[in-house]
Amino acid sequence: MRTITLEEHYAMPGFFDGPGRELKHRAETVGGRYANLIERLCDIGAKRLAEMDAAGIDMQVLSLTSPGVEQLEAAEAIALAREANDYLAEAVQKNPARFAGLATVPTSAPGNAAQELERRVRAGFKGAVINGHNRGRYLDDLFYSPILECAEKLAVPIYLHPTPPPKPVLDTYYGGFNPMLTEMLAGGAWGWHIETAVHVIRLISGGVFDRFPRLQIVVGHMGEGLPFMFQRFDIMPPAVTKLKRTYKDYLRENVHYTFSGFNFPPSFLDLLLELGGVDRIMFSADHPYQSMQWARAFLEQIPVSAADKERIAHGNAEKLFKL
Amino acid sequence: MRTVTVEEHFASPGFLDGAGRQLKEGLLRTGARGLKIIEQLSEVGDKRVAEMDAGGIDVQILSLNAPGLEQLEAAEQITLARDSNEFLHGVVKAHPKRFHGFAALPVAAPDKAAAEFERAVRELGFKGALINGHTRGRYLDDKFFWPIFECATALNVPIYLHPTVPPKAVIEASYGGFAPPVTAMLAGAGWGWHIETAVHLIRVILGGVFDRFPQLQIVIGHLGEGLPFMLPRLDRNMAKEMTKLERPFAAYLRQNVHYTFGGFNFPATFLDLLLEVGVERIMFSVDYPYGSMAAARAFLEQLPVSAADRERIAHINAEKLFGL
Repeated sequence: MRTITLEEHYAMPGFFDGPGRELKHRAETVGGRYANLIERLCDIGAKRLAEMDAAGIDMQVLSLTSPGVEQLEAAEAIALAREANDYLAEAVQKNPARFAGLATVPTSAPGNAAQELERRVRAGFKGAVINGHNRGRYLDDLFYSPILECAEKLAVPIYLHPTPPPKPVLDTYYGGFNPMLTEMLAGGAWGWHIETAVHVIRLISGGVFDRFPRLQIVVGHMGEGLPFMFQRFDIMPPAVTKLKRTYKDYLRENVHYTFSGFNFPPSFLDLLLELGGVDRIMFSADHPYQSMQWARAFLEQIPVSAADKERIAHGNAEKLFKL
Repeated sequence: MRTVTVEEHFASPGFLDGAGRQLKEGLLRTGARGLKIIEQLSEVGDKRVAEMDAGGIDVQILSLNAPGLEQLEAAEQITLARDSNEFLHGVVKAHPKRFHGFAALPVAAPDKAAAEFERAVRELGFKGALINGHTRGRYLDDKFFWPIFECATALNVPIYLHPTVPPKAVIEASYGGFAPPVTAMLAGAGWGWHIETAVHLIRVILGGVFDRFPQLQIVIGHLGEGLPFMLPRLDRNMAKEMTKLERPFAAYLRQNVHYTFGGFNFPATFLDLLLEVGVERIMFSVDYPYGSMAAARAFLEQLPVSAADRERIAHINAEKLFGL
């Protein structure tokens, strides 16, 4: 069975002197796991391919690791996005059967972001990755329309990756514990996911999919909690929201979902049953933060037919990303 | 099959013109349905019992409707909690086989809250207390509030943690920028309420409340407020070395928390909860008058569980937890 993974990360060495400096600092002070992460993020070649071979992963669709360029000033974001995309383009060119790329876009300069996206897609990139809010501003803000319009026009999806919530939320919800714990709680343990779900809800509520009805957003982590609340959205009907469709419609027609380390059968079932089918569920591993072997083993065990497993493992991704 | 429901609301006289005034205004804006809810909240006698008969509900454990008293000044909370509990006591006395009560507490004055809690349980026969989320932005992991937990443990009764709207900073950052009714829904019952309650419970766990009070039981509604979906992730990412807690994170969600429907009559979400925490911690509820008794009852009948497990969910777990 062919396997394509979709939330797989890389970074160029320069990233660790910019937005990734926190990881570098940890590598220098704590070492071990963090140093290893940096090495694996920067390698998009032989070592990564060997790891993929060992785990049974045929293809990775790569994106710059979080926090990406979303929290930078526009000028810095423009330059770093270009550098990130150049680095990725070169790696993909060397192994086009094994790697594909999602473009980093300088969201704080939406016109430039749209240009960068178009240029990269014309050169073979498969979509864009956006790491959540842009210093507290969300993509439902009309300011960002050029990016969304461009993605719709090019018929490529935008992968919405988590980021920590804006400071008021972080302080109110996750403050008061030791800093490491607050960071984890606001991050990969919980806050990241709620933040991303809120972002999707904002996209819907702000009418993004009424303006761009063919736009496709991809979220990881089995849907970031949205499947759990799926039916509850019925209490916000179009009469209240003034939207053209219901929340459920947008979640079933404009969003795709990947595993990315949520290799949890009950959460998977929740997503599967709420979507009413497998057409929008896609495999992913979240390399190098989560294990490819673990993801692959989970894929083998999900309670679906062989044909549906193929859709999840590669068929849906091939269609959506035109692989 | 006997049915006990546990997230069922009422409004004491004066509540809808005081602490619940905004609630009333919101309901009035929704027209006929809102008017009906106002009427149903205020009627806790023969008419409600007749509705329960028709809906197949044997028992309601009643609680003062959200937002409760939690956002008031302490002095006001103290008076109103006592008034509300006295009123509820009268209601229960009139129909002791059909109604039980959860105490309203002046949470802003924890020692007074503990005293009222004890009085309500020992003298009025209440089955626990219900707290509507944060107290003006302060959460229960704050040791300031721990006399309430100490009291619950001593009395051996649970605390129901009911949603409330998030603090203003969160509403503005996460839910602002839309038409006011949309922001209100997103911050409220459409989404924000549930996340707010889940965050609150996570804070209670991380704050070490259950290490200090290992017997304490918290009840949350809405099939677990999103926590079952995230339970394995929380457990993996917050190891004991990081949390400095005595047990793994998931252990608290499986040993110190009970879960009710609260209007989430959603099969897939129910399955998620069932598979993560097991049948012994799941309890039926309607969320009256916001949820329909008939719809909740029909959902209960359809749950993909054995007849014995259905009985546990319908009444046995509640009887055990609340000592009914």
